[in-house]
Amino acid sequence: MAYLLVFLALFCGLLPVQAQSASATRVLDQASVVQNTSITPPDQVPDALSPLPHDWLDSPAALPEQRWYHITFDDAGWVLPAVYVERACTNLEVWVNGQLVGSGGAMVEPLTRNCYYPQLIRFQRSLLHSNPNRLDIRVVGYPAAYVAARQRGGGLSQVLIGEQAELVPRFDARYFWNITLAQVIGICMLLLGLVITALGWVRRQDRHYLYFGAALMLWAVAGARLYVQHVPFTVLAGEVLFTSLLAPFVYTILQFLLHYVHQPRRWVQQLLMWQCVAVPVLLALVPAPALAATARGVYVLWSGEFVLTLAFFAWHSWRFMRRDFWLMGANLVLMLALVAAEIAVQNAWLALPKIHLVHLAMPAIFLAIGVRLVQQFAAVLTESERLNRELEQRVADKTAEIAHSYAQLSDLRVEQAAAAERQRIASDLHDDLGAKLVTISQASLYANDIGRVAELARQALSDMRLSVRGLTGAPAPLPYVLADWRSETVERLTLAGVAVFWNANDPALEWMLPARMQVQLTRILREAVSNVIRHSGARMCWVDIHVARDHLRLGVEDDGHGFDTQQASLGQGLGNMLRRARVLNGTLQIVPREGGGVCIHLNVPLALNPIGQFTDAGGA
Amino acid sequence: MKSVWVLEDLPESHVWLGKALEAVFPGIAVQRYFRLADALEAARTLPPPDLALIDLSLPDGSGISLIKLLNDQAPATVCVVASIYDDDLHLMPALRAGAQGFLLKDQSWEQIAELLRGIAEGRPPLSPAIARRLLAHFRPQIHHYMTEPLTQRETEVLGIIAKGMTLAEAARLLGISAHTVSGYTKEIYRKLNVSSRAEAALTARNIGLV
Repeated sequence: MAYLLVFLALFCGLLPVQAQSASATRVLDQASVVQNTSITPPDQVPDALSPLPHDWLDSPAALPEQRWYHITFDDAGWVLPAVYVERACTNLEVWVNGQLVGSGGAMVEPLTRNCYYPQLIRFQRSLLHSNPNRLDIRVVGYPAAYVAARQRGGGLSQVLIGEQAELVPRFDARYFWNITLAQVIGICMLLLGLVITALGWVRRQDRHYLYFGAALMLWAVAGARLYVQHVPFTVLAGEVLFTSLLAPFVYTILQFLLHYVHQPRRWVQQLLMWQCVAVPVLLALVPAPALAATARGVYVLWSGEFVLTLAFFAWHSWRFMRRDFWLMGANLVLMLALVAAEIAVQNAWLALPKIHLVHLAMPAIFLAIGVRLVQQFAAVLTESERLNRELEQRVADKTAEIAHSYAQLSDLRVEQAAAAERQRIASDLHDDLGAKLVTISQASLYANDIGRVAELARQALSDMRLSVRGLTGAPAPLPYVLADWRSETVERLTLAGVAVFWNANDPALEWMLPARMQVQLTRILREAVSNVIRHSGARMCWVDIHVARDHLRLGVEDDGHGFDTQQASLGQGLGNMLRRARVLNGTLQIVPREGGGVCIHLNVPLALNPIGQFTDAGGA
Repeated sequence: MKSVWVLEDLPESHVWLGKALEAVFPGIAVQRYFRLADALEAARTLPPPDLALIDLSLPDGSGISLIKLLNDQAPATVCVVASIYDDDLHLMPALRAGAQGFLLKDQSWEQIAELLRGIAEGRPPLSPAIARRLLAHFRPQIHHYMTEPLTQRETEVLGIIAKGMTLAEAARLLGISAHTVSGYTKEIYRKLNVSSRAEAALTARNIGLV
């Protein structure tokens, strides 16, 4: 699409040139040329005629150079006469029959820069008299050798004189293609450059956006040479300045290409940066007559750099980014063709075209590249969003999976805990109930031991109640446990006629004892008290309990007839106590008491803490 | 004590309890029930007994319903729970329903006899766990609708029992007679029953039954 516009523009730009033979319009294509510094038309003109357009190629007498073009014409009876000059570089004045009728601006340095501006000068019909009439055009400028581009070399195109109505459309068309379009393109390039730079700013790791954006903006600024008329310095200084502006453009556009294929070279960058300094210095230092030649050399140098970079670019994109090779390659080859054409124009191998080809065609290519960059950016963004969605989906899946695994794990742990609990209950039933039921079944064979059977059965029931409590009970506050122990122990011993001396410390209410531990400790205490009641023949019993955060100490002493006379069946009771102490990771000692009787000392580790949490150090 | 009902599904337990009853109350008339339905029917039609020993876990229901019925129709009857449960979770509902004591069927009949004698003489048993339950029940901020809160002495007695001490020790600590302490415990049981009824009525009203 962009190319279509370019070629349309070229086509339209050429059209007016071919349609010059209008009815009442005279085309003046010969003039007598006088080279002097007079500010009024010369009185004496040579008979020799020079053809128009006339380009200044010979050496000037003074700078800026001034030439008078003397033309005679016949009045064709125009109502509103006007003179149309397609190109007068750098500036002109128009005189009709010795009267100044129009000027393009300042005729002394700093000159008004009108090389790209067409001129339409209207004049009063009353100025015309009987034929022949006289037209004098004063042109100031610099010969081609003194300017950096042939387009700005001094000279005068053909001159048209005729009705304003016929000349205005020509003027408008020329003005549009040379000036308005250049301004519009300049603004567009600047905006596109800003957009691309903004993209590059948010995505610093892709440097080529920044370089391309900068290149576009530099191009837009350099393009101002086409339409900026008034600058506060001489034409020569302007030539150096405007040409120097192209050096950073070359720097950025080549860096863009290298970064685009991810192959930046530090030495290339440094060379290009040096070039940005060297070119202005060189142009400023060379003698004025050599400026054009030097500029052409610089253009060739830049073209060479461009060709080399392009080859490097093509090689890399062909190997690693095949898609970009075709898309970008087409643009770049077109760009190369334009550069070659411009080089040819500058070296006068081609005629100076009516419009500034490079300046119109390049932006179209830039636009294509810019669109490609934006499209890439959008594609990357879309891709990133897609990846993000995929990632989110994957995270959600994984989360669900983990939750599922966790549920399974926790089921498994509940199952394991339940299994362990069942194992403990089974063990309890075997150890306590089982043993007692065995004794009952055996003792019941002997009628004389009915009382013992009943006692064993009651103990079995009592054990069962404890087992049930251990199975269903929640952790109990230690003070409650001690209260229950005290109540039961005192009641039992008192009923058996044994005086009890209970001594226990007063633990905090927040200290919780797990049910299993409570059950085991209750059984040990109960067994110890049973022994006192049944076997010792004691009259007094001392129970001492001391609870600390990390251990529990239990002592049961009696003043009975001691350990030696224990009956055989006591073995089972003691065995149970020892086993339970071991289950609690504790120690149980049974020692004779001084002065008769037995001392039972139990010491079990606890892990109580003030906030009521309990770590089951006893393993109960 | 002239008459007693025993609601119990095991014949052996009937014999066992009968022996204890005969020892404490010689010549007492014992009426045996094996099923809850029969006992409930009797409570509605027959003159109430002086004493009732009631098992909680029966083939056709919970003995608590008989305690409630007797407590409604014959407040003079002394209801005593006779079960194999000694934990407050099982006993508390029975006490709230109006039971004035509890005993374990597997205790020796001498022990049972001693307990029964105590109950008959107004010395109901009170374990530390039950005392803690009672303290929680009568905590003012929980039952603000309570018409009859515990007196300070009654609360003190419960506190001492909750620490595992006997009634005798409580009497000594408070500097009062054992008889007075027993009076307090009996009064506590009565207030429990009254407040439980009030609570039930309030609950019924709240859910729209009354």
